[in-house]
Amino acid sequence: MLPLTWDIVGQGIGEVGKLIFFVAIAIISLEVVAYLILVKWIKFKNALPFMLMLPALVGVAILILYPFGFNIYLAFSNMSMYRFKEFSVGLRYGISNLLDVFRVPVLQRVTFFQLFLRTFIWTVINVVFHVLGGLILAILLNRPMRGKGIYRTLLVVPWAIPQVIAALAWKCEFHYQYGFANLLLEKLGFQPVQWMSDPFWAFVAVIIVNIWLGIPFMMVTILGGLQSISPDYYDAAQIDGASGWQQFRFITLPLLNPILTPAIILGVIWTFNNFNVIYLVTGGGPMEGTDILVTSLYKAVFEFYRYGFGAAYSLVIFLFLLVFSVIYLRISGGFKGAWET
Amino acid sequence: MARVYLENVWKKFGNVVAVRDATLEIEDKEFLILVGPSGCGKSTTLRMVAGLEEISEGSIYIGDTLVNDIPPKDRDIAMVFQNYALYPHMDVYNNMAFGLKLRKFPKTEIDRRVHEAARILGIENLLKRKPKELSGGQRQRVALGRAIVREPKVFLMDEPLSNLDAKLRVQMRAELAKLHDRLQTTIIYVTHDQTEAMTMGDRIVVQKDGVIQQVGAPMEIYNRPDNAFVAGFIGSPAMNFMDAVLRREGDDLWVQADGFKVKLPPARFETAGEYIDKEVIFGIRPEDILDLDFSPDADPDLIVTANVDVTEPMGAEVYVYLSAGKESYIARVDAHTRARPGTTHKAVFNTEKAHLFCKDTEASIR
Repeated sequence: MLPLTWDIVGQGIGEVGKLIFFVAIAIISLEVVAYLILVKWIKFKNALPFMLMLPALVGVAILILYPFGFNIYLAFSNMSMYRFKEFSVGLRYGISNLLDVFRVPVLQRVTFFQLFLRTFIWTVINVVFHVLGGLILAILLNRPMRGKGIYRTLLVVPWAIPQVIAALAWKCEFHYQYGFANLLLEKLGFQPVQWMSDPFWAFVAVIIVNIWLGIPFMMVTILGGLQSISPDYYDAAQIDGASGWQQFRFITLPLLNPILTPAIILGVIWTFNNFNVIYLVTGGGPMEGTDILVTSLYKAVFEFYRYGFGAAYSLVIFLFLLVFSVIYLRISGGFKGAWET
Repeated sequence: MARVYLENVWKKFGNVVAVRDATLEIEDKEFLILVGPSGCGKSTTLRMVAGLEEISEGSIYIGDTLVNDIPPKDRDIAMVFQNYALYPHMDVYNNMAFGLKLRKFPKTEIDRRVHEAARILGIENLLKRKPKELSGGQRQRVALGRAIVREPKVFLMDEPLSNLDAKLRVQMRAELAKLHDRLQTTIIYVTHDQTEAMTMGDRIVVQKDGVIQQVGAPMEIYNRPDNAFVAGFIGSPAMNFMDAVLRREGDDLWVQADGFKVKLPPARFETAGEYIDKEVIFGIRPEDILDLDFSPDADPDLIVTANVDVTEPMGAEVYVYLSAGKESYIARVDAHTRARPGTTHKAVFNTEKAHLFCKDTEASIR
């Protein structure tokens, strides 16, 4: 590795500066064009808001809309390792890609339906534990106690550590001989478990890691929600005769709903899409036994080089998430604030 | 029987004493007002009666039961909160019915009581609405309704009117008084507004720094305040206070302040005799400072010439800000006064109604 000299630092600053300079030039020219068109030419009366939103809109278009469009384009192609430069695009390729998703194994042995079921189980178990764990910890932290700040900081650590590092550290902890998981089991008098070579236990291991990783987000979010509930409601409920459980059931839960709803939606989407943990801890193995939809998608594209198929597959996964989000928003009344007064 | 009795009650938060040795008896069906400036311990006192705050020392009885260790729900009380604390996710009906449901009342009984309370309060048409769809006055009524349906022994109200606009507050003041007549229940009412205290209560308790200063009927407290704090807190505009010295000249007793000197009635000799030639606080209410133009027969020994600083016309009357020497004071006179800012004016101090307070203890000299 090169030693860090002032030359290198200067070069780095220069490169970042160059980038910022070009982005600034691009934004200014964009705004000038927008000004000429919206204000001078068509004299649009809401020109200013549009001009203010324009850089963000262009960013969204470049980073989301264009890749999304390109993905659809690829889904209708037969691009693969064999046809990387000279691939063809057509409706029949699209249809055959889509059918293949359900017809043939996505990787070597697991089928779409197996993966879907596994993803479903993975998501449900994870989110349930995230929410329950987060809720319990948030309620504990929401009470007056000594050293609250220390507890809160420690509990947020899993969230603060980069996922990659956390996942790799956990991988070692599931080592058959040296990992603390087995050491602990042995101390408690149980047989050690083949964490990495038995598909069932491998799946349990990745779930444990992901639960550990996901609780802090829920805890912090729910804690914020709890703190926004006025203590007066609990006073009133106590006078009305509510027991501790009834206060939780009739006051806390309904008033947390506007916080819980988006948190659960996000939690489901993130867990459903969680690639890091599984890929880094088990790599989807053993024998594709811990693959879920997104890891198999990644492997189909970047390890099996089936680009057209992968693009179609990703569209199917996207549709599931879209349908889920729409249904959930309908059922829960969405982001409507229940407690604004 | 819903007498409430506080016996040597203390509340301490760490080293801070919020309520100091409060002993207070509230009669059955009485409308009792706890009044005082912010932080005087009046809300804490109320919350201790409610059971929302633990009692550090002493005992509280509701009826004949010692309630120190009884949770709020078993104290047979209902409470109205300053910001109403209506459950935002329940409609008006359920807000009112919640307490009854938790107590497993039969559905028909809940329905009857909620509709009865809604009728009394005129909110029958709002039963299906959520709190956020209500105006401040309507929320206030729902909060009252929630208390009424419970038919409790004692109502506790913690500044229930302070979030309403001025006009609505005046209106609700009268309605609450009417409601009390109708329900015939004990009400303990906390406020920092001396007008509410004067107009609504059977008796007033004035608190300051956690200590009960005086307990009595409104007019008694107004006319015979025990100390300078009570005298200044009750009444609007507040009583004028001036540093003065008592002087004996022949057979007469005089109050000598910076800028004026007026004669006290001879009866004062008995009570204030020992303060002659000592410093006292001289207190006089704005309405006891008269305009000489309207009292031409006034005793010349009571007349004070003062500069007029400001006049505040209130419609029927004018508040005249006067100053003489280093003392300034407010007189409340008829709107036809000729006092104009920047001129001097002659005022008459009605010393029959003046108050004297000890300079050191601020206790009333009488």
